[in-house]
Amino acid sequence: MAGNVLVFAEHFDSDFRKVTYEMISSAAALASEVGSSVAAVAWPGAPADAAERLAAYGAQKVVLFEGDADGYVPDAQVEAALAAQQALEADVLIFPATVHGQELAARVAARLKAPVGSEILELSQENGQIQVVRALYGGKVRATVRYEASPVVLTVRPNTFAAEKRDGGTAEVTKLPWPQVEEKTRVVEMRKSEATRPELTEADVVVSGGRGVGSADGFKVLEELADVLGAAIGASRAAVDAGWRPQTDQVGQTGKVVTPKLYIACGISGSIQHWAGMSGSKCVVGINKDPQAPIFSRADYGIVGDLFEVVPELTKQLKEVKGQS
Amino acid sequence: MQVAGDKGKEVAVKLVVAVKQVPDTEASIRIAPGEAKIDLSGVNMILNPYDEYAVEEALKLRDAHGGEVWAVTVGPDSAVDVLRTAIAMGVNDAVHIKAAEGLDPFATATLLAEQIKKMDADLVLLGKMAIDDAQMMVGPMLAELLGVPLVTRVARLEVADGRLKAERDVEGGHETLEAPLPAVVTAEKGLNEPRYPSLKGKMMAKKKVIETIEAGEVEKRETVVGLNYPPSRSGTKILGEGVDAVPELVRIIRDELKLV
Repeated sequence: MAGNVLVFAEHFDSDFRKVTYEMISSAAALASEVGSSVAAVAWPGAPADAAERLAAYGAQKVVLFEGDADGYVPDAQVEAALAAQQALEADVLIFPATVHGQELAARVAARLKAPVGSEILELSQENGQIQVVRALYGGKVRATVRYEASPVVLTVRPNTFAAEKRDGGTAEVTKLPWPQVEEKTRVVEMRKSEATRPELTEADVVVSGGRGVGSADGFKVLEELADVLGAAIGASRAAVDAGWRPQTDQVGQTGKVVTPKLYIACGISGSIQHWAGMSGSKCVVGINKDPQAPIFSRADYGIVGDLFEVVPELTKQLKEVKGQS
Repeated sequence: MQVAGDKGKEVAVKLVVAVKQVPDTEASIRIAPGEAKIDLSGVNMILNPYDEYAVEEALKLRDAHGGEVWAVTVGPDSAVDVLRTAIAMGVNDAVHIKAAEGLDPFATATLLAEQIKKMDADLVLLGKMAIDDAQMMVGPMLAELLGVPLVTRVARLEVADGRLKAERDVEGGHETLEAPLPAVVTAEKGLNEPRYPSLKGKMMAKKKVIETIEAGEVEKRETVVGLNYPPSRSGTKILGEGVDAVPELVRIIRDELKLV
């Protein structure tokens, strides 16, 4: 494999999503291992200093497009991605594992007849072939997969790799024309969340509630803890099915997969299906009344107690540490 | 194919749902000793939970508009069971594309596309992903191979006058999209509440003769060189009971995790 590693940057609201920098850093590590370069592709509407921002994390080449694109333009993006792959002779294409990113990765892979690896955990080269590690069966097993065809299309979840800023990076910029494509699908409305919290899949800290929280109102104490930690709120399937939290908060095998630095599970029993969604967390803390709850055989730390006493006390003491009491 | 009708009139729809047989989420997944293979013997196999939402949505659309629902699966002999589950739920007919398990997404999408191209579908539905390999690729790849519009992770779907309107959550918001039929959509949890197969449905499904197609040779473009169980954590440290345990947790958050 000697071709470039191509990373597709995703931006939202005038900045690149964090996962963009994380992908570039992991791609840079691979590229230096195999003696090739990292190229980052930015879509129209990306920050004006895209090349500088992407180079700062290790992109040696940046692809920009000439032409305007407004909003959701997946059909044009597919053609543009293929053009970038050709122009840069890329052997590896890396997309963010976001809703739009996954769609794009799959469609581009279909056009390239490429083998794929979604939500990879590790990336390397062995015997001249790209190799990844990814989770199967809700995280119960990890597979090491080697690809025998080229190019390869991969996707990466936020918080999987570390974003590493480098000194003195400049990127060689290539400009390609934006494809003139009539979109088959159109966005009628995009309602932005009011959220003041980080996106669940991007958060460093997640405070999560389960059946033990008992009601929608019960989540207020978790929200106060989340405020102090700058955390996102998660929920078990039980809490979502009971209507206490929206589906978008669900963490688990039929919910989101999250990999925060800290996951605090409050009133969550810790079933296999829930664990499938957060087992990648660096540190897991369980707070539960039931000393027999499975969470206490899986988590790193546990507190046996009533979350309605423990969580407010935790919030209070953390505020003191932060000088906010 | 009848999709364009006079505004407001019921127009029959042909719906195709692609489904997959997967291990139960409760199942213990064992790695075959000394091999890079999973030992599925004795494991309860089920209809992929996300595909249940797709089947239910297809049935709802058929019930509203008239028409028929077909289920298609790519899989080994045992995969016919999920077709019977779909029929028991109310699906009209099914096709089994017999192929080895563990095909990569592109191979699966190619086999599905070949079959579905002959079916004149107005709408193709799938679950957003299969819970075994969680690639999330087959649906979008299928749309690309069929050359039709795609909406993934649909939380709400309406079909009228040859067009679909879909809602879904994306990072930072909620999108409403529109596209002409034919199209491919993939289902997110919560799209609907899948119905339980009736006893009558199960009996019918048992007797149903299902068309079987043998898939040809498939090019292998990746190899699983190893399977491992994830590294286990070193055992839960109970910090204590109730509020007495909080100071130690605060110390860990502050000094070890350095999050405040």
